[in-house]
Amino acid sequence: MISFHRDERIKLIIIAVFVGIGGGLASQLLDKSLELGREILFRYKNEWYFFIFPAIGAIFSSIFLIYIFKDVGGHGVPEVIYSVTKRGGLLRLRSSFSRLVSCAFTIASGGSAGPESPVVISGASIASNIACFFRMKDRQRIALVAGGSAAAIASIFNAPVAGIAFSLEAILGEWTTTNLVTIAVASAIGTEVCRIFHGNQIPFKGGPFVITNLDLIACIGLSFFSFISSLFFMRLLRHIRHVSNRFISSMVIRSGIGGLLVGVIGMFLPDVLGEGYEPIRNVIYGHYSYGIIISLLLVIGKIVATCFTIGTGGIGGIFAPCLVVGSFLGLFYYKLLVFLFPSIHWAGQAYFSLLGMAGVLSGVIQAPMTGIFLITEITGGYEVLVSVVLVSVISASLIRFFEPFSVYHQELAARGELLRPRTDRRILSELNILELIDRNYYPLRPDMRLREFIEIIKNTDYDFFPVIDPKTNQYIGLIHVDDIRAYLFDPNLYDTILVEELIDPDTPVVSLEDELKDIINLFDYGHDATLPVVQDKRFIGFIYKSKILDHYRKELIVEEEI
Amino acid sequence: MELEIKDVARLMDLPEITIMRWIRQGKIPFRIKNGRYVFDKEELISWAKLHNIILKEEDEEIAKREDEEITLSEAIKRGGVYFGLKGNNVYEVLRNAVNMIQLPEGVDKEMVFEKLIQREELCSTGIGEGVAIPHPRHPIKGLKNMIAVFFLEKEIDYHALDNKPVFVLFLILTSSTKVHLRLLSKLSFCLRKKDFISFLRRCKSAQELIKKIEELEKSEK
Repeated sequence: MISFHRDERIKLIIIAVFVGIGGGLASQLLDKSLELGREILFRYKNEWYFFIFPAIGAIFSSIFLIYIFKDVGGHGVPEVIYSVTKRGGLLRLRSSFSRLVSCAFTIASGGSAGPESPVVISGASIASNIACFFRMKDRQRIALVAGGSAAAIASIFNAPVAGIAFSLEAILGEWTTTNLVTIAVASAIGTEVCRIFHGNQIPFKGGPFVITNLDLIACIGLSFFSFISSLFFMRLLRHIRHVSNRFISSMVIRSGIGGLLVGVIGMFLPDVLGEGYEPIRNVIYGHYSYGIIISLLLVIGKIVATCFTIGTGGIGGIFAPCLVVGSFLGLFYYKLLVFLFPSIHWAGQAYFSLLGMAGVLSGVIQAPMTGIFLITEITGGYEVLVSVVLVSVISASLIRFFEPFSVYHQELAARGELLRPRTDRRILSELNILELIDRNYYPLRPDMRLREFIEIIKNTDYDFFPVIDPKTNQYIGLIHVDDIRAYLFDPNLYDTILVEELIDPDTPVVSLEDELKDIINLFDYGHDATLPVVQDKRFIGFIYKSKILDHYRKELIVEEEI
Repeated sequence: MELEIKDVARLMDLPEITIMRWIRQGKIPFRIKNGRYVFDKEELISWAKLHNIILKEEDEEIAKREDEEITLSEAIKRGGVYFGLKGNNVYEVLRNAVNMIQLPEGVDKEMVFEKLIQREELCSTGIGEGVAIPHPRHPIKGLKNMIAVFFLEKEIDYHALDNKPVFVLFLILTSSTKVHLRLLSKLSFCLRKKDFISFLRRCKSAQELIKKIEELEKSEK
């Protein structure tokens, strides 16, 4: 037992190293191609026709994804979550690069989206394929896929802990020791890959800050603003996705139109274009000193542009846009504070921008730990920790009242496919009806007399008997001995009653395609604790409530990790 | 010791497809040997213990099944046939009977005797026609299922239902109600027959009795 776990764990850790390298390289590859794309395209930044670029980029991006890579669209992250919950972490190999290319087109051309989701699915898919190569089992594969996602995030931001937190919070939805070790190794290696390319740089160096109690109180106000922005962001994204899907069925045309709208917004507010790391730096370093109105417009503009890009089918994530929106929001809030209380010396523009980033990120992806660690790590200091915790937690808690699922989970939840570990639905979905069927039974002929049936009751220990037509082998009905007890002791009826006449016509039947949760509902609605399983009119066996419970418990037990 | 999927399925009382799925998902410790999945018994037992899963012990399982299907003649072979049991009343004959039989280790003869008396005090087990079927008030865990037959030295008053003196005891000892009822039903099938009773009155040897009962069992089938 111990040896089983030890061998497996060591193997898992070694493979996690490869996964970390894969995830890290994927993110660096995208980073380099974005840089290259930007260099080429931004030469035309001041030309009048520049507003068309996002549209062209989006169209290319969709064409590449649908026709060349023949992959399905989407954020990336929901696909990884789906694969982890439903498919034992299996992902297609082509997913490891399809979205990278598409996303590079979208973002380099000016589309407002983040590179994180595509990188996450690449890292995850690389991990999944490595796991398959080493013939890992579902459970280990899932841990490795989570590790690949962590490495990707860690490598983009040079933030290993944020990678771990993201993976546990958003991808897996649970914190367990085995997973943690695998994910941490991959995340650390992913970070190391990033440092080889860029050195140990802090992406957005802010501070040092002088934080007073007044600043902490002001944080509470900022968390409300973050919450409202997050809610607006999520609702608008869903709305645009819904509307555009309804009216335009072709993804290529849809994303083209979205790109065009983004280009138009970009003519007036060029800071909303692209993944937006540059504007974040400008805000934090104090290069921007926009007033209240402009910064508010930037917040709204970035949200709208992102929704047009992603909501219409553009390939890219929501992670970076959240950070951008947050930084503009922090700028706006800071300017508002200065305007309202000009005599107080506030902690500064960078401080509130960083907190805004944490607040919006925590709200939209509902992963406060990710927000907290990301901001702490990318600013390179722990002095903001208290404020970040405050803003992230308040923002994430408030939004749960209005949006119970994060932006990554809402699609899955709407389809009823969000199966969190160790939940009732997850366990029921693991169990298959075939595993629960009891094939021990004694078939009765419909024309049998009660006398003959009583002999059978005597010599068997069944309580339920299926009646089956001997000619066609079709199921006719079910007899429960309890229901007919009264007649069993009346010898006058022995030769007058036929088995057929004893059938209870109200007994529902279950088929192999039925979902287990529906079967349990049948039991809960007061039907007998035994139901017949019938497929194509053939009787297959019985399903017992007690057996389901027994199985369910064992399934729950083995889900546990010790 | 190595186990295969089907053994594990039986031990855990789960279908084989569940075990296969657990292998695929990596939820159960296994090894691959010559392309087949095998399980180390020790490893599986400690894994099950850690997860608080109760494994069915195979040997117990088989023993239980055998016991439940025990025939009347086998039960009597196990219990033995004794002639000339001494005693003047119910207490004395039962005391002597218990002393003569062989019980498994760990079963206290005194306790068996007390339970037999408890049952007699509740209601006599003399079922009539000179036959009594003493048995403990409750099945006793750890007992080997058996019937010991005692022919009395002299007929005694057993407070039987028909007040006739009793000349033979069928002492039924079982570990479960299920087996008790089964043996009782088989025994009463024989005792219902008048010629069996008269056979008992002249029966002189164990072989004779067992042969007769085997015949009756055959005729029942």
